[in-house]
Amino acid sequence: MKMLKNLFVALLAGAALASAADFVVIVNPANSAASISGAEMKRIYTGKMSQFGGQKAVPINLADSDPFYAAFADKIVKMSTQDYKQFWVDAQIKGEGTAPMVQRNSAAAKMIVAALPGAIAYVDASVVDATVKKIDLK
Amino acid sequence: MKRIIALGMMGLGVLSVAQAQEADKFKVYGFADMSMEYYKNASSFNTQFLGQDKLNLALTHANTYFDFNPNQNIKALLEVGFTSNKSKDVYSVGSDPNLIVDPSGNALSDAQIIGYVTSLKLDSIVAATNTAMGLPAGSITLAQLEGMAPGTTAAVQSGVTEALTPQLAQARASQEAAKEKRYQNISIQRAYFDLLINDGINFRMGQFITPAGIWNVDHASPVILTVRQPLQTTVTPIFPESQLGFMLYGRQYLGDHDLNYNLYATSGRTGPSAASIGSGYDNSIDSPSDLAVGGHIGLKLDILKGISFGISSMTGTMRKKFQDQQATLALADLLQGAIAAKDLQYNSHFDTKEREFIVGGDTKIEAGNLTVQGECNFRTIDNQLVKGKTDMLGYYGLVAYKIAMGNNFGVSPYAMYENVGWKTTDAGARSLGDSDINGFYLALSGLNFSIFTNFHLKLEVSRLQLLLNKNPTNFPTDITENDLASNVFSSQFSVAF
Repeated sequence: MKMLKNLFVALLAGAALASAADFVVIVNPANSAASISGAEMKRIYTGKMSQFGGQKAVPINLADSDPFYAAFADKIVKMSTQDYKQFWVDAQIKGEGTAPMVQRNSAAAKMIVAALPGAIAYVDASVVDATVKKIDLK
Repeated sequence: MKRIIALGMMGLGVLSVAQAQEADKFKVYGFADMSMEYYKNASSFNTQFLGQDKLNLALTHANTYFDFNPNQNIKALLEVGFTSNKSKDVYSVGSDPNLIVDPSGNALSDAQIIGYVTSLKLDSIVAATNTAMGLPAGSITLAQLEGMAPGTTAAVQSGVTEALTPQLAQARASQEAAKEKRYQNISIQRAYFDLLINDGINFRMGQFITPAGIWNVDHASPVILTVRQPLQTTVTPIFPESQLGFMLYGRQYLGDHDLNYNLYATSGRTGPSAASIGSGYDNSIDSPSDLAVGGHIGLKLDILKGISFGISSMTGTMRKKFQDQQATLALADLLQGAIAAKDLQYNSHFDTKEREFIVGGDTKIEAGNLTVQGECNFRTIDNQLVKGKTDMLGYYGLVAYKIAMGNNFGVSPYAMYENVGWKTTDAGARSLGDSDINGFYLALSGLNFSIFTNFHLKLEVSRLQLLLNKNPTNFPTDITENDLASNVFSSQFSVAF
């Protein structure tokens, strides 16, 4: 019984942590997609997928000081922030592409997404407005 | 007021987007690494094999990439490499009196010796040549020697060479003294255009790194875990490191897993012709029919942190034509001046005609902080000039474990074992070097320190053991295993920028 109680507390704590790190995915309104899978998101942010929703995918990362950056690296790219940075250093040297554009916070990322067809970003839900389109992360 | 601020922010936003798009079109980046190697027991054999001195300090790479992406369908990449290496000149003058190297270290043929030595204004050569040929003094002048250099008859060459013997010996001695030098080299590592259609189909044209295995593609020190790549990708490359041609490449998605492919048609392996090996000169013509085709197919499974398998293959021909110039003239005509173009005859013949087939497999497993990686490659060369063939088998296995130390530091202990062997069934397949040595193994271990992602410091110890045939013909009989081994301490610092 005590074990079940501990498990329940741990699950609650995990859920609370996850919600604190939750972000939403936004694209330019010209993008036709209504949703994106985690695998697709990972491919776009590792330079493996170049098209999404009928547009050339332009991923936008948040600065590593933004808490959503670490959450994104962990949940979607499934790497530590250090490994994700190292991944792009390596990819660049191998000639496989260059790292996504970086914006300092969610508001700045949203502004770029609103202006750039094909842009995609993960942002704080509070910055989303009619200039961008929120899509479901499956 | 709020509207003005909003408009201002929108303006800044648009400007930022425009700036970002412009910056995205053209990028310059690269990497550099500096290495130091100390050979505890550098024998003459492995010194020649690896081209290393006892202590080597080198700016191994300073490579700059120019990446141009004008629109979503076009990409161009140029990688320019610079190397500066203080090392011993491993070129062997040998016992052949007709071999001599110029001040740049290039070997000279007989005819070139004439031009070279006469350029030193050694007037005594003229008299000595006349004497050697049994001609009256003054029959051949210095100017005539210089003029006839491209097409001298064998008799004249022989006479000149005999006359030059003391000078050759003197020049050879000065070359010995000048062996240690600093090499500097700028090279185009890759230069290609990409036509990007979609993720499944893309075209590449130009010089590109051969898509074979793992570490030939990884290519550079910030990506490579060890100080030295497996020797089967560098010193004795089973697959050519880079090629010139066309490539079709892309990937398909299988759920969460990726299937990627590369198919190419190129001008094949480039390298010196068999006749020019050791001479330092490659006067041959690379045949345009030396086509090669090959490819790599890889499957990356989204299991653990990633499991990948790949198969590489290539087949091609390497044919080189060597072109001789000859002129047969009466001595009286020869002495009247330079040889007329109409008297020159050109004879072409193949001095290399090989067909090769290569197949290899690679795998990489990443689980947590553990990485296990290996490649195995087999190459068979069919020498079509001399009946026979050479088979070559190379493999390596590597294991590494990454220990994170905060967000900006990490250290990865690693160990690797590599074995390469070859067997030549005729004397004509010379591209693998001395047939008395039929392989080597390399065992190494080290630490790779990662600092702020862009910096790496590697410390490594290794043992390279050359493997000798059972019945060597060119080696002393009392040679021991240790004479053919190198124990090396290496360090390397690399930075990506």
